[in-house]
Amino acid sequence: MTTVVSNTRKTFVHAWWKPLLLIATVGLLGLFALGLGRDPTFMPSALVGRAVPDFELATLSAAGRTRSGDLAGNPLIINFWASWCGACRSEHDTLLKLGRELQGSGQVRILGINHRDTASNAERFLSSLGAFPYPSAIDADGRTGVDFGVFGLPETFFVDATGIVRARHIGPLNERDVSRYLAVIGVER
Amino acid sequence: MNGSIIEFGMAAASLALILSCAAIVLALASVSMRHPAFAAVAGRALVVNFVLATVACLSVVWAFVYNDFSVAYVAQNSNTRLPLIYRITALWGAHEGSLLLWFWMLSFYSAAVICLHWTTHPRSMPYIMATFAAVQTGFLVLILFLSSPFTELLPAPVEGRDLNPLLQDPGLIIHPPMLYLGYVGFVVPFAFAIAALMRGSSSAEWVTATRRWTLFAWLSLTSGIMLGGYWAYYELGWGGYWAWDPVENASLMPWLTGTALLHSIMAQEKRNLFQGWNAFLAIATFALSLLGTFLVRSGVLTSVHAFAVDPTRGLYLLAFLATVTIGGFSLLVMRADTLRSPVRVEGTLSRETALLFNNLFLIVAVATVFFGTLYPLAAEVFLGERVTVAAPYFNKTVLPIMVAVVILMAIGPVVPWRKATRSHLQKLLVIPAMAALAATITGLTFGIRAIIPLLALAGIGMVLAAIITDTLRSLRARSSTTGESSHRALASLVMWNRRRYGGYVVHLGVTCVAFGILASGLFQEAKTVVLSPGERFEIGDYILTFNGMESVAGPNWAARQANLEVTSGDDSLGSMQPQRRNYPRGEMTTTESAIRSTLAGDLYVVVGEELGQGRASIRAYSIPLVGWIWAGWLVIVVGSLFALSQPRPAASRQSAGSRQVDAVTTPVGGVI
Repeated sequence: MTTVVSNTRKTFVHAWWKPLLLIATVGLLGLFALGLGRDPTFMPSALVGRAVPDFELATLSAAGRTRSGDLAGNPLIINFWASWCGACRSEHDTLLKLGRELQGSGQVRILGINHRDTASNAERFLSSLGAFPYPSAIDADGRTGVDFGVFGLPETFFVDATGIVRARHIGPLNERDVSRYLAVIGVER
Repeated sequence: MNGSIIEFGMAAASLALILSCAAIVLALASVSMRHPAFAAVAGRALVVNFVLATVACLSVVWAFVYNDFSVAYVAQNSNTRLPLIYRITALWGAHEGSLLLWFWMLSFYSAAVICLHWTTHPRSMPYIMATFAAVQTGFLVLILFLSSPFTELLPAPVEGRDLNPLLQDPGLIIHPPMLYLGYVGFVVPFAFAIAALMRGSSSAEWVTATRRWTLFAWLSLTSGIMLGGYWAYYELGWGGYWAWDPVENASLMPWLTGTALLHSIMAQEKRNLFQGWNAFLAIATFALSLLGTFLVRSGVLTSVHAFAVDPTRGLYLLAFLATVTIGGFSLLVMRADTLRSPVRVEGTLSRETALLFNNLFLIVAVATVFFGTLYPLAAEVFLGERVTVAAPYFNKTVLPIMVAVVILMAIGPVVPWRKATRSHLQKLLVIPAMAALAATITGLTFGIRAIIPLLALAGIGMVLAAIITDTLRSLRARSSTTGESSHRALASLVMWNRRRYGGYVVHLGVTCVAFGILASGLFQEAKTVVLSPGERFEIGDYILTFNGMESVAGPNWAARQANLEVTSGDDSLGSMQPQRRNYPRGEMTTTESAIRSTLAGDLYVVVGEELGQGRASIRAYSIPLVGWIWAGWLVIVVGSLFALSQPRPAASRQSAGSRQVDAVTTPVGGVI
C-alpha cells in the first residue's frame, strides 16, 4: 500500500463545528437537568377545571348504590384502584392513613372506585392489606373510568366543595403529594 | 453466614472503588512522571477489579440462590417458589443488580484490553487505563452509594415478593446481558479514541486496534436489540416487535452510530481519512450508550421500560453523562487540529464517498430518532405540554433513511477505493440494477404500490445481486490466476478474506431482516373474535376451532388456557394453547401468546377475557415472513463471528497513515 499525501491540504475540520458541538452538548444536558426537575406523575387532564362526571355504581361489600350527587357539597377524593394493580399496593398504606385521618373529620370525603375488577378479588385484596376506612364503588366494566379518562391505575382525582375537579394524580400517592393536593381543594390538615 | 457473604461482596465492590481511583492517579502519573512501573501497577489494579467485580456479582447471586431475604434487593425481586434459573438471572432483573452486571462487564472489557494490548500499545495504555478506571469509578460510586444491591433489610421477611413476571422468561435471561455487553463494549473504542486524542496522535492505530472490539460490541448490541424484539413479540401479545418506545430508541441510537463507526474506520485504516470524525463517532457512541442508561433510570422520560424513579440518582447519572460528553467532546475540539487528514476524498463515486454517504444517512437517522425521542421532554419543559411522538413519526422519517442505507449497501462494498471510472461502474452495477428492476416488478405484482416499500425491495434485490456478482468476479479472477477448481478457489477466497466475506454475510443478514420487516408490516392480518366452544374462525390460510378453556398451573403461577385446533386446507396442524397467567405473589397477569412459526409466516394467537358460558375473546394475527427477521439475525451473527475469526495479521507492513506507529498492523481490505 502506498502512502498518499495530497498537496491540497483541505481540512476535514472547519472551525464552526467546534462551538456548535459544545453548545449542543451543553444545551442537551441542560434540557435533561430541567427534565429531571419535572414531576413525571403530573398529568394534565381535560377534566381539571370541570365538574366531576356523574356516576351511579354498586357499592363494594355493602348494599345500596353510590351516586355522585350524594357526595356533593364537600371536597372529595376519588381513588381508582384494583386488586390486579401492583402499584396500588404501594399506595395502600398512604390511603389507609389518609382515610383514618380525614374520614372522621367531616372536612373531606373519600371514595374508592374499584376499576375493572371482580368483587371477590377486591374483597380478598382488602382483607389481606387492610380495608379502607371509606366506601368503594364497583366499576366492573370500566365505564366510569372512561368518563374520568383513567388509563392506568392507580389514579386519584381531587374535587373541591363546588364539585369541580382540581387535580389528577397518576401513580401511587405519597404523603407529600397528598398534602399538596389537599391544599388545592381547600382542605387544611 | 448468608449475611456475611453479601457483606463480603460489598467489601469487594468497595475495594474495587479504591483500586479504580488509584488506577486513574497511577496511570496518569506514569505519563507525567515518566514512571512505567506506575502503569504496571494501574494495570494490575484493573485486572484485580475484574476479580472483585466477579466476587461482588457472585455474592448477590448467592443471596438469590439461597433465598436470603435479608438482602433488600433479593426480597424485592425473588421468592422461594421462583425457579432456580430465574433466581440466578434475577441478578439483572431490576435496577441495582443490572448496574452491577454493567460494572462486571466493564471490568471484564478493561482487563481483557489491558491483557491483549499491553505490549502492542504501550504508549496509549496509560490513557486507556485512566479512561477505563474513570468510567469504573463512576459506576462504582453509583452502585455503592445510590443503588446498592447489597443493602440489608431487617428484620428479614420470610418470603420475598416476586421477580416481575414479564421477566420470568428465557428471552429475558439473555436480552439484557447482550444489550449491556454491547453498550459497555463501546467503552473500548471510546477509551482508545480518548487515548489517541490525549496523545495528539493522528495515526490510524487506534482504529485498527479497536475494529474487532467495535465489531464485537456491535454484534452484542445487535443481538440484544433483536432478542428484545423477539421477546416483546412472543411475550407481550400484541403481534409486534418494535414500538419506538423511548428506551428502544435509546438502544437504537448507539447501534446506528456504532454501525457508522464500524464502516468509517475503514476509511481511516485504508486511506487515513475521517480521523476527527471517527473520534467523534467513538465518543458519541459511548455517550449514547450512557444516555440510554440515563433515560431508563432517571425517570426523565416516561417509558414501559423505566425503572423506579429517584431524583438523586437521576442527578448523579446526569453529572456522569455530562462528564463523559463534555470531557470527550472538549478534548476532541482541542485536539481537532492535529487530526487533519493529509489526504482528501477524491472522485465522485468511490468507496470513500460511499462510506461518507453511509455515515451521513446513519447520522441523519440518529438525529431523527434523537429528536423524536426527546421532543416530548422539550415540549414539556418549554411549552408545558404533554405530547407523545408515536410510531407514525418514526416510520415516516427513519424507514426511508434506512431504505437508502440498504440501497447504498449494494454500491458501497463493490466500488473501488479512490476513483471509479464510469465504464467500470457501469460494469459493476448493471446486474444489480437489473435485479432491482426485477424486485420492483415482483413487488408490483404482489400489489405493493407505495414507493418506500418498492424502493426497499429494489434495494434488497440490488444488494443480493451485487454480493453474488462481486463474489463470482473475484472467484473467476482467482481461479484464472491460480488454476484452482472453482469450489477450492471459493473456499480459499473466503477463508483468506474473512473480513470481507464476513461483512457480505452480515449484509445478507441485514437484507433478510429488512425483507422480514417489510413483508410482515405490509401483509399482516389481525382479527378479534368472541367464540363459544366448538366455534371456528378463519385467518390467513388457517382455520381455528375453539375447544374451550381450561385451568393449568405452574410453579409460581396459575393460568387459564384456551385450546384451539388449527387446520389449513385439509391438513391438521395440531393445537395451540394461548394462556393468561396470574402470578399471585406480585398480583400480576401476563398473556402468553401461542405462536406457530414457519419461514412463510407466523400464526399468532392471544386469549383475552372470558365472557361466561364458556365464551372467550380470542385475538389472532397472521404475520407473513416475520421469521425472516430472526433468521436474518442468525445470519448476522454467523457473518460477524466469521469476520472476527480472521487471524490478526502479523506485524509486517506499515499501514497507510500510521506516522506515529505504536503497533504496526496491516489493515486488511474488507466491507466492515
